[in-house]
Amino acid sequence: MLEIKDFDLIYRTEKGVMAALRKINLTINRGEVLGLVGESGCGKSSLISSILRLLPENAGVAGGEIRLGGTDMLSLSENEMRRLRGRDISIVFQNPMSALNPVLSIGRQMEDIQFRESVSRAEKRERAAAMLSEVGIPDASRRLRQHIHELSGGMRQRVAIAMALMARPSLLIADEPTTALDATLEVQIIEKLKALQEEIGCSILFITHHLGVVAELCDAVAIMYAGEVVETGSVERIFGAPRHPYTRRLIACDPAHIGDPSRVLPTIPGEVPKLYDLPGGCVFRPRCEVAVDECARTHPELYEMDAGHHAACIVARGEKS
Amino acid sequence: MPAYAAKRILLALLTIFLAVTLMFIMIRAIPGDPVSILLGPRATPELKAALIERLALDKPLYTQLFIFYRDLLHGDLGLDVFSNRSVTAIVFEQLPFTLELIFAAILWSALLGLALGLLAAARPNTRLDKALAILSTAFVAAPAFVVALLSLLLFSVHLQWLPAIGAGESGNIPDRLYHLVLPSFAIGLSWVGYIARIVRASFLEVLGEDHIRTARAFGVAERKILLSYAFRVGILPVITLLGVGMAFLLSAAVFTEIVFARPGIGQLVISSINSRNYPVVMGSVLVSSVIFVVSTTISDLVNAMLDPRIRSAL
Repeated sequence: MLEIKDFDLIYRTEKGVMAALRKINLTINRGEVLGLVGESGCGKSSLISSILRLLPENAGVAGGEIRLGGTDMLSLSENEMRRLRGRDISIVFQNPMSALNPVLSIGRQMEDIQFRESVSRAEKRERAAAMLSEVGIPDASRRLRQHIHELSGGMRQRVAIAMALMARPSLLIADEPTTALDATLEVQIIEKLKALQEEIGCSILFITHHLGVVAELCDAVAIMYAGEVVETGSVERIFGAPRHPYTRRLIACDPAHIGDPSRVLPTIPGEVPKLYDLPGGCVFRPRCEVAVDECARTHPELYEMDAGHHAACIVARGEKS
Repeated sequence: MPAYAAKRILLALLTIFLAVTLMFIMIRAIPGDPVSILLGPRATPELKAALIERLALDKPLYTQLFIFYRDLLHGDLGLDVFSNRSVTAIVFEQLPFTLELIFAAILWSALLGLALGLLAAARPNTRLDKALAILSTAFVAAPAFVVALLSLLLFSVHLQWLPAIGAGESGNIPDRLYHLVLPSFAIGLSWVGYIARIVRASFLEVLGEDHIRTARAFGVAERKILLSYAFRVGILPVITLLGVGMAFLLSAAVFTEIVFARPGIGQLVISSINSRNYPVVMGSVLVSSVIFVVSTTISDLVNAMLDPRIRSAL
């Protein structure tokens, strides 16, 4: 479905050229939900912008390809790309309050995104209302006349999901859609998303730093660190037998895994390296507890640990053999 | 919307009431005996007494204020102390001159400012943008009276392209417009700068907002994004600025009318204050505050029409 191969992205900044994404390899199969996990600043948002090709002007693709159902999107013209957006790929942003236009009604915006359909405005409005009902918004036709600031937080995110799934896309990108919501709402939204995904049959790239949500919703997981994918595999493998030291620490830090409430919350010592000043060898080495001398010399690739389970760690590869 | 409009208009009326009352009290607090100034040093006590009686100056302040508002509600602003003409008539005679000056100034400065601002926002941080920034700042920094005097010197005295004084022959529209060019240029120039800067900042901010990225992510056409998604949000601060701008142009009009010897409310205010012609002062102040309040109210109502967040806020 979506296939990202050796993708490199750079940003030209005043501090020099930043290698924001390096040799990204990811695959999402048809109907699969892939959870993309990583700290803030690890390149998750850059990856989304790259897939949608909505990059800022100082960004540049330095290599690799991004294929959707066989077409290399990086070679498409801007017009061809625009035809894809909202039809084949659509997106739910993190904060629906700022992601929807504040002065246009919800109905107007939901009509506008159906610009491909050659039906009357009344028909478009009806379809929009039907979609709102489908995501669990009661009294849909009244909601269409309202503006985003007039809705509650959960309602706003439901509207954003309705808009994204309106055209029944083959790939949905969900950029931390539940981060701004409280826990109860988060569960409701995740369940709704799951039900709709099964109905429509689309693939989902689900970006989050909430591991519990990944376990609940996703089939596969990719862990990102400082602009690289460091581990990929099925949910069972990643949570059951994580191989990369970063993944292990990340899971250990998840509040859901901490039994003793009196304990100090675990953290990963050190900080994410600056992208314009990366260490040689493995990017995680400065914070890694199991690093060996070899890690400073060799940059690890994604080595196969088991069938369908890859980790970019020399030490982990050694453990296997 | 009707609820918002009702509240906003009520607020406007209250503002006018406060401004006019304040002016009524303030002009009576200016030192100097108005009757002596009005009638000159050789006035007889009988004349003075008659004028005090006529202006009700012997009554307490609140009674004077009451009489003023009672007459105002009947459209009566009193009589000019010198000519005995109705102040209402005098004010409405002068009003069109000031209004045409303000409208001409705001029209050309808003159009040019909007164009320059959008141009800068479309090409941020380029040489064009930087040149426009310098130009706009220079416009803002140039005081209207300096622009008025210099342009008068250049275009009227040296080049003799444009008339120096007056408002043109009444009824002769081309002549009236011809006489408007220099004064409206003088008071509008700094507004070109202000408007260009605010338009640039506002549109750059909007274009960087998430909802524009969302519209792009749904494949909405770029032209539609700019014209209906970005414009409707970006224009809001500009409309507010224009509403306040009317007030600034009104005060700029006062000395511009003097520099160019144009008739108008500004002339009327200055001459009537100098001669302590109370009824005429009150009449022209009333009209000025109404112009100010009406223009800010209109800009707020337009904003509320365009922005649902404002409607639900008040």
